[in-house]
Amino acid sequence: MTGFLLTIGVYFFTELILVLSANLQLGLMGMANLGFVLFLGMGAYTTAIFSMGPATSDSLQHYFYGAALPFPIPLLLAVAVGSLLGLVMGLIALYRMRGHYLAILTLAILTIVWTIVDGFPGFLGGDNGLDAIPQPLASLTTTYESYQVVFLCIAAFCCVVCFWFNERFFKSPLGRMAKAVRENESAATTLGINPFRVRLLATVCGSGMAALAGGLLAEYVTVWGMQPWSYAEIFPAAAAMIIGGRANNWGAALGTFATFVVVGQGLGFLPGFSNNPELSYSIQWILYGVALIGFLWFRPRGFIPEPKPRWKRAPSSVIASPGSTPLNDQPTSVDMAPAHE
Amino acid sequence: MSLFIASTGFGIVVASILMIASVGFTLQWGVSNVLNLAYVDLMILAAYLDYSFHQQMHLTSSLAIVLSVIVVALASVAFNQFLLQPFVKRGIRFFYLLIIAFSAGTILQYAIQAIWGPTFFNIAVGGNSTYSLGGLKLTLSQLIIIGIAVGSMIAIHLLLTQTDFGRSMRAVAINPMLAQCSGIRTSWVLNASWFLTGTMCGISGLVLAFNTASFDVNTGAVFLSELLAAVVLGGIGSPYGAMVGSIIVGVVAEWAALLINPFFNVVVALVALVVTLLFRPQGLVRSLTSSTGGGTS
Amino acid sequence: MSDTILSCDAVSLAFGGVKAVVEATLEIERGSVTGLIGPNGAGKSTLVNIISGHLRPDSGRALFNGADITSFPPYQVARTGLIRTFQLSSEFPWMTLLENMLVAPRQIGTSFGKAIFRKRSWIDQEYELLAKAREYLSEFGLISLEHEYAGNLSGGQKRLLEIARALMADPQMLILDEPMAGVAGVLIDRIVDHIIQLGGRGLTFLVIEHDLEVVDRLCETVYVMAQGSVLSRGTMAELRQDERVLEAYLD
Repeated sequence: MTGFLLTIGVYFFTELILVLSANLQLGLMGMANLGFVLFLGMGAYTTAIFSMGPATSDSLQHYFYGAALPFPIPLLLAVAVGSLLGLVMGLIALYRMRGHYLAILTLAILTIVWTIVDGFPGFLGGDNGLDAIPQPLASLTTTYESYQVVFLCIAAFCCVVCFWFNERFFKSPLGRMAKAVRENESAATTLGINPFRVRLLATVCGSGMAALAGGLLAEYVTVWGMQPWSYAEIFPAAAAMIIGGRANNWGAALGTFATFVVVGQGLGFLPGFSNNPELSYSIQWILYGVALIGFLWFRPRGFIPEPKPRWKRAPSSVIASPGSTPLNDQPTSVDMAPAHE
Repeated sequence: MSLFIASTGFGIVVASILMIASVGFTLQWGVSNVLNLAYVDLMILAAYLDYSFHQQMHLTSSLAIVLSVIVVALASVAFNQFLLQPFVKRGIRFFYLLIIAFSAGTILQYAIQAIWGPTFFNIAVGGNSTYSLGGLKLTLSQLIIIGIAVGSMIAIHLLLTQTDFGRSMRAVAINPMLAQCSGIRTSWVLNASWFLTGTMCGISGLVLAFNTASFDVNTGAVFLSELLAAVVLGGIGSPYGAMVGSIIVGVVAEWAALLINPFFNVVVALVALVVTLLFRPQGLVRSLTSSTGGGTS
Repeated sequence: MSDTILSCDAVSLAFGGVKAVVEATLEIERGSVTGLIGPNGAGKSTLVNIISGHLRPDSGRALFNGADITSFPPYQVARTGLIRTFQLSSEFPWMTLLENMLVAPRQIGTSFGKAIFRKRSWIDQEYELLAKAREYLSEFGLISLEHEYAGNLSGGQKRLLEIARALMADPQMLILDEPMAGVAGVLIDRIVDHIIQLGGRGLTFLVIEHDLEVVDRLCETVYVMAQGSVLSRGTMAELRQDERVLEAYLD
């Protein structure tokens, strides 16, 4: 039982990183960048290749290159590769594409890469996938359960870092700029904002995060294949983001818990489902879909909506510009002397 | 060389399936401004229904086909009327409409899987006797598919140009508000359009399954790539463009599958889609609805 | 003699076969409140879109403070100090009034590295701008709504917000595209008073307006456009006597 809970914990933290990535691009930035799971896959493959060492001729799996680098280098490389690929995708897709067109374009790029990887087994293992991915820091522990605890700490740490990153981004003037572009791009440009730059930043950061999630998942499960980063996987992450509260990182955490943990794992415990995994799998996806549509109708901003900003410092006296009289800090009188010429 | 000709023949069959599917899809987009990601799932539903009607409930082949198509057409109308329109009237951001269509498609996909199970099924028509047609060898089944496609395209063309309904549809696609002001009952036209395009959806799902040795829910999902490519190449909202796009995608994709790798039909179709979106998003054929190809940008 | 802040030099643009703007030439004097009037379809908004960088002209140039801004994208035009508003309200609906205001000025915290890693470098400026935003909101009578979502405001309040927000960007010139459209009578007076007051502080205005009474109160110089070209220029009194102007409005 503890082992099961530890695994759920690891999944929670890694999926949350993916949902945070979606929250940054789809939630804060409002981009229809549906291809974000591509970077989950690319991060996983990068981590695998840089930790497994070169494929030997008698091994059953085939992939290109290979190096056996110690933890945490493969994960860091995953973030780097993910961000770089995100930059490339952003440069291609974001300059002129919006809305429907961006959605189709990113889906198309995801599917192209997915199909190529699937079709060329010598490249990244293809349909057979990769296995025997080394576990980081495995030598530190003796039992599998204690290893799980170690990995849980690693996953939790990465998640906290990503969460902190997102919070900083969202709550800074940069995040405000992103929201403005989302809310009314035209108006934002007339105030001097370059929408392409913000979008590209969000894409690069989001891709790096998604890649980190992929790397962690690959290292925990020690196998990786085509399914975890397929077109269908966009759906639970987007559902978690929307149900929990888009553009709200705590909402993303709540949403991830609700979809991946409660629905994802909880269904298996209900009577009638425990001995029919196929059916419970189908019902799980149907539930995601119904919940998503339900939320979009009844509570479109999610469980925890996007927060209004709060400034914690009490209004101090205005820093008077040189040469004019200082103003008091009771901003109600209309005929205050203006301090800005 | 004969492989090449055979591949061309197969490409024409795929193009026929694509034609029926893409004209329906692109008209839905033109009239309702929605990217119906549930379309391919509705398509494959028709195949599953036909299987049940014909092989499980033992209805005659023709009755099963007709019933399946009608159910899918009605489902499409219901999808628009009860799921999409309420959200549209609320003024939802288009992105969430996309998610809703995606969700509906996913629900449908897994409902199908829950009801019929994850195994593969088979429906067929016509049989395997082959005929030679100018160097191409096609089975009766494939010829029937091509025939259905040609017939549907002629019917659509006549509908759009000769009937009042067709003209109303085009008017609503170009400018819904103006159409309403000029007396067109837009909600009726909308529902009728979805019924029509739902019919095409159902038919295309059936011919897709006829053309596949065995199908499951993923058969439809994989088809989405070529469908989107045909639609985008032809210009979103343009049925004639979709016809042209289908021929190009269908044939070229099959050549690619032959010459490069069996998976490459999807890749080539999608690369064509990406290139078109980046350099000529209004499509190769000027759209029916506007110079920007309709849809929001 | 006069110091020209903005000038258009024979700007032309045609859409398909339709000539939207034909050889439009105008000069705006620094510190003035200039009006731009004309019947519907005269090309006023199109000309403003060209100036602000949303459209590229087929020929001609636009110069701001001597610099050629013709091919600048909208955000670059804004950074030169020329801010425009839109005919339809363009507030950021799901952001509060204060957030709307804080989007406008150039901030240290919009640089990626500083935003994420060096909060200390931008947080002081944030509070300064916050105080400034509150002042403006007070001046415009919107301070009680500072934490309200901008999308919930009335039409007139949105207009005021847009002007206040534009001011946060420290502009040298403001182009107001039909600022009174959809605004209730009392608020019109308030907006007019604000514009006059701001004009007095040295801000240059170009105001597109249909309400000729408002134009009369606000603008010393008025340009008239019709069918894409600049017909005439003068004070409202002069224009009222001008036959070409009368014809354009009667046609």
